[in-house]
Amino acid sequence: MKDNIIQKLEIIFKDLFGEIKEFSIESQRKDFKEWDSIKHLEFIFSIEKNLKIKFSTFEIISIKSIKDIYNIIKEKNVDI
Amino acid sequence: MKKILFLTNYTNLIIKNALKSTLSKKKDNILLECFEFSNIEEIINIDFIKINKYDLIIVHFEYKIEINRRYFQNKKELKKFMDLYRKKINSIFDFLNKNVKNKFVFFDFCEYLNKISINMDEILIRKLNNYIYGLSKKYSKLIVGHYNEFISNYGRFNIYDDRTINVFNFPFSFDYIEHICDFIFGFIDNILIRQIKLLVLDLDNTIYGGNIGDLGFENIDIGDFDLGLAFKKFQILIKKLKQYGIILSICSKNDYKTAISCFENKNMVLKKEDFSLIIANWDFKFKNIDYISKKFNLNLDSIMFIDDRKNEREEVKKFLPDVFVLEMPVDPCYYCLEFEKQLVFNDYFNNEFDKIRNNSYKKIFERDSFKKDFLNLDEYFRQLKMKSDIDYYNYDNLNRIYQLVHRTNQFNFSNIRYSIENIEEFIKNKKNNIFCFTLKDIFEDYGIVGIVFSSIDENQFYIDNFLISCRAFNKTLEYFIINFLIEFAKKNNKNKISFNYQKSLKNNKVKKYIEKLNLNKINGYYILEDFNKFNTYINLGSENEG
Repeated sequence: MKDNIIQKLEIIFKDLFGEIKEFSIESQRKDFKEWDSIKHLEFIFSIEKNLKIKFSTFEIISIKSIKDIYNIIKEKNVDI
Repeated sequence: MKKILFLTNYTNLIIKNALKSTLSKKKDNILLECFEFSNIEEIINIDFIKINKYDLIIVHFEYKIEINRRYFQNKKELKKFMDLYRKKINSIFDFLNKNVKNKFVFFDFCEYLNKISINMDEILIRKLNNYIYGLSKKYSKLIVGHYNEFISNYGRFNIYDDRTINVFNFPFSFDYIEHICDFIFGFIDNILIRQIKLLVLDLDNTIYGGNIGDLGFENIDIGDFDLGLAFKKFQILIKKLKQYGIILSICSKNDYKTAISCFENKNMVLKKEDFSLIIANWDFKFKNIDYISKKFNLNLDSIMFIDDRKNEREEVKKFLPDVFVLEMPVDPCYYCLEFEKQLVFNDYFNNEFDKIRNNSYKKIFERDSFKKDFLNLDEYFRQLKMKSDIDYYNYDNLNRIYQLVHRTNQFNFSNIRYSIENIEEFIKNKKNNIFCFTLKDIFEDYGIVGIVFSSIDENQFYIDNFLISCRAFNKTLEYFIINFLIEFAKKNNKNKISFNYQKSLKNNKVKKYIEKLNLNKINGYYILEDFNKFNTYINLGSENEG
């Protein structure tokens, strides 16, 4: 069963990228040519807004996959 | 199709998308193109033939990106950089002024005070800004956008996001993107879409506090304290706009004489002469505004409507969607702020407006009514879904009854001003009833707006007083109430209703109503014998249904 974080991320992701590819926790940034820096910025903004969290600059630049985002959010220990 | 070019030194795709979605909602077809530059001088590299095809060019160079990444060894080095920057700006203005078709907007710089370099860059930026303001006199096509003021309104700490500047070259924090877009759109709106040339103002609770019909001009709220001060400040702001060449007019739901009596109050900053046209009647405001636009030969989109009442604003928005309707806050203290927020007023007005125009309209027109079926009012009334509940006297609404009895002048049958004790005394008699009528539509809940003091015995059904608040005029509430009274009379086997009517200086509306109802004067009473139902758009409120 998917946990809450993954479910939320999927909604935000599909909202931004459409149903272009299978979404999974293993999805990598380099696999999506649409996931460019602007989309990355929008993705970050959208996650921050929806989950009421804030990424640090280091986190923003280190995100390479959905899993990275998942781990960061998990570490932040927020109620979702 | 109009074309806009938006030039920035930051990543502008997000702003571009947001602006595009705003633009797509407007009726005009506007194409937006964006470019990013890293250095300001690159603008000159744009082909001038290309530049010529745009109706508006907006240049936004963000100081934070331009200078923050540079390190200056000393003051001299910084000054040198600034001098060079100044020259660059000058040559860009030269280029744009020569080549653009219409106007170009250049945003001034955020005068951002860095505690470490307090004596250096902050002052130099201020100098740079002053230099730019000075240039606006030299270059006729230049409009300086007061971006610095915008930043200080919302706060630098809120607007900028240092993370995204460093990573994405995008300076703004997510929460403020909308405000930035509104700010930028303000220029597009003002320059390409509409130019506000005429203001249509309401009177009561818009330029002074209170209802003049009920308070009299001596007692309206305008002056140097509390709410009076809020209204005074708003009047000063409007007076300034008049000096910029904007035409002022009034559209008030009131009798003409009552309406203009406000100018007898010596605290009024706005004088009767300031207004080129004063319309005061009981007609719909959108009809009046339509009339005003024809009178001045102005398009509806150059008109701005200012009214404190939401339902009036919604009515105008619905019937005249081109009119700029200012969203007014509930608190008059925020009128000025809201006004500034929603409109970008800049030096532009100084140049563009013909000041003589205002004077040529000096003559004040008076207008009683004009009947014209340009819209389906019937349908509109239906859409309002007006509902009224009938409430009997109780302790909770005693204060409201007292208030209405003492404040209502225009629709007040007998002008009897019952005191609290009188009301309590009146209701003790079992034959007497006080009916309270509420009114609600899709925009607003007006609360209790109509009151009938009645008395019923073996002989007659007698209305001692009947009053309706001016807020509920023109909504067919008076007919809803009369239908109710007719039903009540029938239930109690009465075949007529007797009204107590006393003419006063202010209750002319009642006189017209009596004529409409066809009441006969017998022994000092006004009698309704014809029990036909009247047309009303108001339905009985849901709670009482069934």
